[in-house]
Amino acid sequence: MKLEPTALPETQPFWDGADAGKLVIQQCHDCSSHYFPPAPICPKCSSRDTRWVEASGEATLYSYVLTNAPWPHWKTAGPMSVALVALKEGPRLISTVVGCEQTPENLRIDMPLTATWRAFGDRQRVLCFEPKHRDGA
Amino acid sequence: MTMKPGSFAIVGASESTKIGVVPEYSSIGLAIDGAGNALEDAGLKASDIDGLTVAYLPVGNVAQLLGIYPKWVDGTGVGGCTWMFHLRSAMAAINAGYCSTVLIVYGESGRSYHAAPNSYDTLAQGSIEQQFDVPYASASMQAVLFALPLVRYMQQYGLTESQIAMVPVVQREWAAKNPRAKLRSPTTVDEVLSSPMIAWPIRRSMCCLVSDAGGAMIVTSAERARDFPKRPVYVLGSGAAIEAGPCSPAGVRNPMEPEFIRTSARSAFSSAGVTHSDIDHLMIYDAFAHNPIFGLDGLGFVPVGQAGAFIADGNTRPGGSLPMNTNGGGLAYAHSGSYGMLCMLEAVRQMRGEAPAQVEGARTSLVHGWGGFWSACATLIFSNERP
Repeated sequence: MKLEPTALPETQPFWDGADAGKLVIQQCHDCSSHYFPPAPICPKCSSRDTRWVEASGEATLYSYVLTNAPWPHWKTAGPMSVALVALKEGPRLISTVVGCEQTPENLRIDMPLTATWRAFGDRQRVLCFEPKHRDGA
Repeated sequence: MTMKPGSFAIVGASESTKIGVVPEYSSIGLAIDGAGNALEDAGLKASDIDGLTVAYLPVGNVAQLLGIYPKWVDGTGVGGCTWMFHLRSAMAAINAGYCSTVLIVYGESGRSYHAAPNSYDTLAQGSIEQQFDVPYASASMQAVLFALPLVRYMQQYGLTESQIAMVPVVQREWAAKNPRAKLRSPTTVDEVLSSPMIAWPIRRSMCCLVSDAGGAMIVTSAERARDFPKRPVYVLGSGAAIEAGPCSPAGVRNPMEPEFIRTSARSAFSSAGVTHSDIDHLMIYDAFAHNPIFGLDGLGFVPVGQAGAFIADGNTRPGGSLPMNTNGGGLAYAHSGSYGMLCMLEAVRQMRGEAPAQVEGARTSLVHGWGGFWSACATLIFSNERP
């Protein structure tokens, strides 16, 4: 199985955004909720009037584990965080927290994160998160 | 149209002849072997079966190999609790008059791995999981995804690593009484917490075994059940729920108090007309040591956050107030991938009074299983007495 994500027509806009370094997700125009993963109709209200919007990139760390067997595509020996991340807009998704030591001391539940991008195998950008740095810190 | 408690009964049930390391059978061979044993257990021939459920193996092939010509089938696959979903739909099909005698079949060469499909070989290019979950999940995918809510739960409720480690300790006590169990020697909290780290905080001794196994059961109406050689095991009630795809646990809306467990439990208890205090025996699918903890919480046997202490205090061990995973569980008995059928079969043995680690006088059993890396579940309540 090729591990690099394979886009389908319904998810292509997400991957186009990724290639441009932008986190884009869908927002329902009827009920205003954001949702992920991508789908042609809103999972909350079933409306077809959904739009792709650029997300703030702000998130928090809902929970995580530290794997000792990251896929070689990440080019890291591990441990590597596998994170359940809660976007500010509401949806939760699975990702990893980069840019900090992968230890329980550095990965604190509910810590603020911002979206970033890293290479995964042949794909230049997949969605990751890094600790949010306060301006001026 | 509601089905009354005890309207249906399990009249034949058996595992495959061998479990554990069975290189002489592929998944389909284990399924056929288990099915043959269940037919024999019920005193039936293939021609007596008119409904068939199978998952992860083509149902038509299994029918043909068994010499069954079903007029109703179900091939739904939702992970480990699939066989519990199948029992529910089999009862509904019999109730609807689509068939009268259903064989539920399972076989998985989870260890020797002959001729997939294995349960989770469904991660096709472009699937939601392949795009958004698998790249992060790592080679320890099951351990990682199943354990994702755990660190937050530990922080929120004060669950400790030692309490999690008590789960395999207790289950070895049950396995010690079971000649077919793999890990029968006692273990300790220290030993569990010294085992190699798989994906912090999950250590190897907190992970299930990797086994080959098959099994099958036969369900029919309670009226007919009296004519069979074995003591009938009546289905008092059941429930089920799904929140997300098999490898998409991010779709579970509230991982700290998951709704899918609560929905399944409510359905099971209300359809059975019993409460928690009526349950004499419990099986909670243990792919990982924390699964029974989340199960006890979610099913409502203990207040939320108290399940770790409940197990650590010895309530589920031999002699305890709520015997659980009495075959040793996925942690100590066997675990073939989609282990749910083996949970159901231990409950049937307990209800028949045939279990190696028999709970004296047990009249009811609740079986709860998970699907996927934690996004689906089903709950069954059995009794050896017809209401």
